[in-house]
Amino acid sequence: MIIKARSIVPGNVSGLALVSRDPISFYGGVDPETGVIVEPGHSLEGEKISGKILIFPYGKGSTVGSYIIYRLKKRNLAPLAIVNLETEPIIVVGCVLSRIPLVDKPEANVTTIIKTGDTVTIKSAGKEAWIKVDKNGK
Amino acid sequence: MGLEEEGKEVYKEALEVVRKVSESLGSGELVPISRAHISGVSYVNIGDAGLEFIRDLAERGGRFRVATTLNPVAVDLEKWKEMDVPEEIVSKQKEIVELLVKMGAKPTLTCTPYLIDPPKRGEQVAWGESNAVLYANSVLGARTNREGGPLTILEAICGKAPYLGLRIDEGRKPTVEVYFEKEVWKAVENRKIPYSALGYSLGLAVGRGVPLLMETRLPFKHIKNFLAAVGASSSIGLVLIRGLSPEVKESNFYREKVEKISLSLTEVEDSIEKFRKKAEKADAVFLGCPHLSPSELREIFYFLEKKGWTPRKKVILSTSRWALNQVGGKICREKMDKVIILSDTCIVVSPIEYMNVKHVVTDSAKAAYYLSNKGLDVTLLPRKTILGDII
Repeated sequence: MIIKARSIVPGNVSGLALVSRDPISFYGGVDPETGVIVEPGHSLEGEKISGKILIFPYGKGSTVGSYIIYRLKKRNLAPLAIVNLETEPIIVVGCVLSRIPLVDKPEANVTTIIKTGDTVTIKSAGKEAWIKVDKNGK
Repeated sequence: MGLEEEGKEVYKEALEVVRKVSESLGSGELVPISRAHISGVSYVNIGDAGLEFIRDLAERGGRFRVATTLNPVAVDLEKWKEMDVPEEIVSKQKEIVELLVKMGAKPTLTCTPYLIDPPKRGEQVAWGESNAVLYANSVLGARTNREGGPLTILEAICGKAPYLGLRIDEGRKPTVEVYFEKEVWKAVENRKIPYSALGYSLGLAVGRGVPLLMETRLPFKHIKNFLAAVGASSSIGLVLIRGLSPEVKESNFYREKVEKISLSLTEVEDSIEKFRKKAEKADAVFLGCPHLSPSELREIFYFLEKKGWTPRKKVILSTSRWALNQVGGKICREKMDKVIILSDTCIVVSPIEYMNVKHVVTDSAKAAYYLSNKGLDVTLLPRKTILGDII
């Protein structure tokens, strides 16, 4: 399956998906020392985002979240790429500074179509991006 | 690579980020800004991640292209010993300020830059502190979005901001008309609730967009506190107020038909329900969110003078070093035991756990919101009640 999207930060990567139906606050919600989601009650609580294709609807919370994304990248704990339904400045600032490929506005709801553990390939360049999904589950 | 070339790299990066933000939210257009105000300067808020980011920019030769001021920090840089804050926090906080100053910022360390040097009507600025954004847009008619800390730093470096939202005419049109019922005005005038409670409930009810107030009895001296409360409970960056906002004063002010909402006294009271703990149990009074202006300081000093500077409860005031100098801060800071006057900081962005305060009385709904999030008990009362009956 291939889904068209909008490119914000360019890059071509392939990896395992980690999918959240909840928005993510990087400030307070993600431990910058481990890359683990720590927000109590979050659907991904306890999951490590490092090296994953992280898929979630949009960012929320304090703008300090951009600094957390930057710190994760410097410690090699950042996600491989981020896919949002509709992104916002906290995530954009963090990803541009950290050179983490970022795409949004996919033509299908990737937070329900893609499952955690699927193999996802992102091609992001210019204005357009492509999200290729290979189902690994049953 | 020399420092100058590296500085050019930082400039290019900053421009790229600002452009990407503009592309992701709008047309991708940018507009030159005349000045910037950076929020997220307190080490308690931004932590090592923020320090590391700022250090990288400064060490790679990043410099601000426009006049840049700074929000409050975690400690009073002169009186930090009295605040009992650990030295590690103080030294990291000092490093953050030194790095930003090295990049060209003026260490105003206040959330009220509009009191010191107010921008003009129509001026495009890049402000990160929500109460300052609301004041600049609503009272002065200047133009800024709620930019957030990291973005204001990058905008100050490249001297440009995304041209969208509250920066363009289209984005400043009212989206909802808000009325407070008569009993609400009666309650604030009879000192049952502070004016900031009205701002807080408005923010909760409206959430986003541009509210228009056509009928208000808001005295000018309470506007600052009112707007700060709107900022704390919503993502609103502009409130159009008849008789105050420059745009609404114009004879050709045109409004399309928008939804009208009316807020009752019950709704206003419900919004501040959490902040109504019994005042007798409080161990301190806190005034100065946003930072107190010189005239507010003079009024509070008048009441404290009447009490011989020994109020019944500990009084914590926060203000800017600028305002304190205006009222002759050095003299009044000498003889005090139960009055703590902090500048450069406020208890919302400081590590309050070291100050031995568990329950505060305040007139600021913004402070009430953030302090109760930090686990403190809060009693929200009007300023006059606090000055007349509590201290």
